[in-house]
Amino acid sequence: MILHPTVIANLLASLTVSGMILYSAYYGLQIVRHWDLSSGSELQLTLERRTYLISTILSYVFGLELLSLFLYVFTADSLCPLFVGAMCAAGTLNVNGFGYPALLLKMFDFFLAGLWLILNHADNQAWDYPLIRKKYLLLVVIAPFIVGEMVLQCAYFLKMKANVITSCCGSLFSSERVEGLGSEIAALSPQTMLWMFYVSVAVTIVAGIHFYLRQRGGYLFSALAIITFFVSIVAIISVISLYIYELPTHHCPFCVLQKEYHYVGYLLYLALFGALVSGGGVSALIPFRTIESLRTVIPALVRKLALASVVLYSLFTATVTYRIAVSHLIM
Amino acid sequence: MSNRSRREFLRRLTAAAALAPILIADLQAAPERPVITKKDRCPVCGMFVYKYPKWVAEIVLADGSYYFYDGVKDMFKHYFDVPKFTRGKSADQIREIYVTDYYEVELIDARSAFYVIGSDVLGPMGHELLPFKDRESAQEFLQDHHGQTIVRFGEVTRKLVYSLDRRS
Repeated sequence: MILHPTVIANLLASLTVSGMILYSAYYGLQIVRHWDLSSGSELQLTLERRTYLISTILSYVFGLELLSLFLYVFTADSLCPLFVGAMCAAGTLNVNGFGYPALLLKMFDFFLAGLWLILNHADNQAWDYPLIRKKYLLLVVIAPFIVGEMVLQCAYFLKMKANVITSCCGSLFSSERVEGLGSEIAALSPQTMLWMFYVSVAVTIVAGIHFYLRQRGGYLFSALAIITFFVSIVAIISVISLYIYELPTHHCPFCVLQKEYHYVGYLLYLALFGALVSGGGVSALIPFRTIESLRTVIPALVRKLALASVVLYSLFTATVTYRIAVSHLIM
Repeated sequence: MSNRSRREFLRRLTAAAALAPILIADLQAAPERPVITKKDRCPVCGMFVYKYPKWVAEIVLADGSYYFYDGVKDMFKHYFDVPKFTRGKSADQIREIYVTDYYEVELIDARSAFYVIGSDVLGPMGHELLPFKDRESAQEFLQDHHGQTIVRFGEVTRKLVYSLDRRS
């Protein structure tokens, strides 16, 4: 293990989040099984009081979970000078077999945590706890993933050894390597990928504006927002990175997080993940719009979410387009 | 100051004044060496080269463009595939190649250097070819750091360079 302040912060955050979520999931399970608003039993009164505590805890804990994705990547990036061969987070995450699985699980948990916060926000707007069973059922589903993430993250940081020669992102995301998803993405045709990216973003933004104005096609917009997220990630590796680095062979999705590139990666990924969660949140809420106490809440909330997703995708695309426009890369 | 030493002082001053224009002209005639800035990146791996001054290698092309590398290994990767890493350029444009002598930490001509491979000294990109200006220092390094062999510039092959990436 490497005793670096950021490593300790990561471990503390991950232990706090999983501890709190296990505690909440325990009561969540009780709520799922025994909740009965019409009953005046002692158990029901206890659960009603406790749901306020749990909902408050989870708002903070899931907020921490969202932040911790960026903390994790920041940590990997700041530890890279300690490992021979690493020049950014890509190399540091490769020092043992747990770095990348932990990152992927963190990204998945980020999405789930965002959805839970959206459901919770909608539920808190109504007087009769209309989504209480659903949101605690979701919590029970999320809990194992959060614990899994904690285990992977602990394994990654505790098994970190400074004498490992890791691979630089130049070879992990090289179009010439035969194996590895990063290399397969890097080998895609940059021009085709750039077109796919712009078409995908344009269609999503149009669908989002249509939904915002007419309140129709919510599921379609939501699906498009999720698809565009993956297309954008592939586009970052395949082509956007080339323009940012101004090197025809450098496909790394992590170097953009560095000071030398003005930390533009944080802006790109914040916009992208924000757009994913708000876009995905639309289809998570639409099924509940017929519930009486949410009849006015949900339409307003999903419109706001769609607008947020559209704005964030526009911000992402504008930043990318600006970087492409000022790039000196000769393709 | 005695008369004699004053005369001596004046004589030296005159000599220096006479030499000065020659020296200045000489300085102006010397080609300008490219200086590493904080923006220079290795065209092969993308690393910022200023962070690794002891490992710098450099290629200067006939059109005046130049590239810095964070190790000899990446310099050779570029040398073997110039158009791949720098579109529109070719290997026959290469005019000068420099590497940093591991002991002296100064740029030396890469074509006349001696390279030690297989040693326990790692560069920023892992296993490296460590350059030395003469065979004696390369031999000394090889013995001190468990090196495997000494190779010359012309003996370095693409296969050898890429095999350094695969060592653990």
